[in-house]
Amino acid sequence: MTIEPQIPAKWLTIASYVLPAIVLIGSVLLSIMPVHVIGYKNILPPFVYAVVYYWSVFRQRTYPASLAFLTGLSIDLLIGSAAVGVNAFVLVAMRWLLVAQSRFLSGQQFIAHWLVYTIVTLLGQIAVWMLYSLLMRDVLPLVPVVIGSFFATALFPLFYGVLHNVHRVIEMARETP
Amino acid sequence: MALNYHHSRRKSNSDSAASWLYEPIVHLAERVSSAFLIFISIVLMVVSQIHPNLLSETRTVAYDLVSPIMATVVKPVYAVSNWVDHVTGISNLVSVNAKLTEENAKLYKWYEKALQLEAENRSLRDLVNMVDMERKSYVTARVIADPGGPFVHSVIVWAGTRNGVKEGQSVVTGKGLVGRISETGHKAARVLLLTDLNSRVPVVIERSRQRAMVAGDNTDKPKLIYLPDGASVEKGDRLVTSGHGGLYIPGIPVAVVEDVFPGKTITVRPLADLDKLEYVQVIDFGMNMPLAEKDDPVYSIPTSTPNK
Repeated sequence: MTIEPQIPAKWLTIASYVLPAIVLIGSVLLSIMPVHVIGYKNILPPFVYAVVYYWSVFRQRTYPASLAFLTGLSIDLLIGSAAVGVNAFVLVAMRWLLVAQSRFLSGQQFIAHWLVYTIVTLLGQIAVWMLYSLLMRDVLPLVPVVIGSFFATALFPLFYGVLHNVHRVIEMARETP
Repeated sequence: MALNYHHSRRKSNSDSAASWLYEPIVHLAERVSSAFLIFISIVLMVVSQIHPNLLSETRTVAYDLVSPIMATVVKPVYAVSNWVDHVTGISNLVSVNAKLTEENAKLYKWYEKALQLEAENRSLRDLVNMVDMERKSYVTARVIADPGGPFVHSVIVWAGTRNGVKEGQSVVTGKGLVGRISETGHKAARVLLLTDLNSRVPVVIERSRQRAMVAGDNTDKPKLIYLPDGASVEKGDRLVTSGHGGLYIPGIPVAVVEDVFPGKTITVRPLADLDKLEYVQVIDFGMNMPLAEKDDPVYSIPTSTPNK
């Protein structure tokens, strides 16, 4: 579903800069929201992965590697683990992989994106699990990682829709004289 | 509804020499910067292992930046959560009422007994001239973020050094121990929950007075460790802080024994509802020792409790 708003050019330009930042910061804040559901910690989906995926495939310049690094580092600092750098590593590596395949991916149907996102999310989460287990010198539970990836996959169409409309706003701002 | 998003890649519409050079240079710069940032991430991981407290100041700056936003955003989240609890609670009114009436009757019986025991306790303390560890001060703080996920069990509370919160202070709810303050910023502080892998709480089994340790393992049911062979422990036994190591004052309710497998692990269920923390009390007992590492000897060898 695509939104075609009738927005003045000035607001479109402002929105084209502000909206990507809002979406990115929003996904990080969503990850740390306290939710009073029993066992929520064990199913927490990595919301920020959808944002990283979309921007890496469709708008690399909007989301450079340095921003992926800062996003991951912010998550590491907010999580509070002594193992700083884990999420920064995974997000930069994820972005690098996706940018390398963006020519192929950008022309695909949504279902292909959903499938690739599922694989990328699972690999990313497993990488995070392995690094935390290695750095904490303990084998951490793997089940929450798998469940979180499942929920992230289930929510992907919603995030994709939001990001697609933000992408449209940016394109419209660029096309408007 | 069929979702059919199709994006066509924008073609480069310039065949000039500058354009021919520009794209490869951009791609090369992209790869170099990604490789460099991956290298920096690995360096950060190694450095954070060698010096775990090196980035502590940076973390507290991060909480202080994020906490005002979260303090505002969680208000409607809690309002919705409380409304849902209220609505679902209405359907359980009859059964909850019956349960509460039964509990009330039991509590009346214990009330008289508690008054008797309190008087007896007071006279015995006076008799042996015992020094009390009184609660010096406390701060009630709202939980504004739950950033840990499955690998780190911690929450961030909306109270920091400006409110008198210090590292090492105990955090409790009305039901029992939640954890300890592990880092403090100016406006917010991090609470390491007792279910976290790095959490160790010296406890005593209320019934048998046997000492042990509640060890978090990043699951909802921490383990009870350092019990001697043949120690008496049963399902339903209450665990309270022993006060050993000077980490917590004695007597704070911690958990209840959940499963006892002969020769195997004993799991416990925390008394505080760690999945539904909204308000907690950060208490200053005047014992603000810094958190020890998981392998620190203070966790393995119970020591006598230092008196004030």
